Amino acid sequence: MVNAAVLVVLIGFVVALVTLVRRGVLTQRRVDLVSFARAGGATEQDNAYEVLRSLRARNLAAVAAVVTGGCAAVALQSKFPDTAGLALALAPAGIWVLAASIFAFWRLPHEFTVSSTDSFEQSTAELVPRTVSRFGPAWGIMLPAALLATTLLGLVAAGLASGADAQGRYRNLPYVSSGGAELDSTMVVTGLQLGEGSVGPFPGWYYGMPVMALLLVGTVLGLLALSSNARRPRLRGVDLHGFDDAVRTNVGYVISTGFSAMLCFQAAPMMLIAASAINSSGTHPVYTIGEAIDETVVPSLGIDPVAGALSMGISVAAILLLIIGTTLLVRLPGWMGSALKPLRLPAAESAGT
Amino acid sequence: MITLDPGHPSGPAEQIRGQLTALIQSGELVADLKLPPVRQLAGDLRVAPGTVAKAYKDLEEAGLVRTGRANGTRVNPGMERGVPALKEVQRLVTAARTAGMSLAEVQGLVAITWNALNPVPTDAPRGS
Repeated sequence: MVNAAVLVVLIGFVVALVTLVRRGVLTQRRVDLVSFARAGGATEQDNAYEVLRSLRARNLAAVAAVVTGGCAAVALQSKFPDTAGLALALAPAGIWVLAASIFAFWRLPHEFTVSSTDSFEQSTAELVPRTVSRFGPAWGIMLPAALLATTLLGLVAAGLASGADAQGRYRNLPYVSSGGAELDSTMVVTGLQLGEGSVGPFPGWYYGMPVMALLLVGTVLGLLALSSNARRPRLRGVDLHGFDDAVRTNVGYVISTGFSAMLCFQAAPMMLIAASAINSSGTHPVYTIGEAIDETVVPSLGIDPVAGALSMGISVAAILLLIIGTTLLVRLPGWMGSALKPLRLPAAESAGT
Repeated sequence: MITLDPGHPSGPAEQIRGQLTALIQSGELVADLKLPPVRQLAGDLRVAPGTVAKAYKDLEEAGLVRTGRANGTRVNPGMERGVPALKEVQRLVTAARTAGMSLAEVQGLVAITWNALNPVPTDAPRGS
């Protein structure tokens, strides 16, 4: 039964990886923003470079926010060690809230002081509604939504299963075990005893509530950032439409990839902690009635099949999430770095030609 | 795609309404097609949202589009007329540009042809 469950989990692991590769989550193709910026005349290029400069500054600010958030989490953990790792548990979602705030509230420019050519006097508009799902990866909404829903459901389930620790914080997993034995005077097992216990840390309400709150805030900010990316007015000049689309796609990838990676790194450690607690709660000494106990020998340990399969399944899913999260995190600097390439100075170029 | 020309004698709302009407009646904008939200179109055209809203309202009063609270503004079915298809106009514009003509010259050419083929406008008031 347990072997079959492990086999199913492993097959699911492989199927999930293959599906993600086929859906393009792990393989992404970037466009060169600078080459798109070279479309059109000198005025269009000036304006495109201004957008790229703003995009570059925004990306650097987001990276600075991520580093600051990470350092703050470590510092808070050091300053308040009694919080049982709460600052570290909140770090991924908290860092995302900081980064998403920058993406949501730092608007890229769309109107410029220099607009001298005839094409800039006229304004054009496409007649296709720009939705948040139009720019960025095809999985840009579905994958984060699925990860978010799974994480929230998991945290609620873990919260319902959790119990209080000695300080009254809901960060333990209570359990009932049959790992006790009644012994007679000759140290022979005469009966089995049920016992109650509690093991931690476990992602109960103590961690789950603030994490869920930050995840919801981060989701709202992420959607706001995607919405402002889609609804930002188009740049003037038909020649810049390709560049405009490329910038929106780039931003869509950065936000969707960053949010998905954050969800992976938020969920995976909590799942591993939960799997460890479940495994510990299901592990107990195995006694047989009539067996003589030798005090010098450590009794053999057994694990409850359901707890074992559950902890194994959660662990494998957490490792899958870590692989996906790492892959997305490796891709993210590439997308953000698209705007970091050295820009050709239009003035210098025009002087040279 | 529609274009607003600041030098055009008509106002922005009229230009938007006229171009959308032409696109709907020529079949370029098919039935039930969703038009962009007012704010998107206004932002792209650099006009106030009220200008686009007025154009949409005029189109709705003409029966060309319908506006639902959740569905946005959509093209009504059955609005396609036997007016010259946009492709024919595009052919004319391409030929005119190849010949080096300006927009004003093409408009003049169209006006001459229009008056020559239809000397008495059907919507002109008929006096005794």
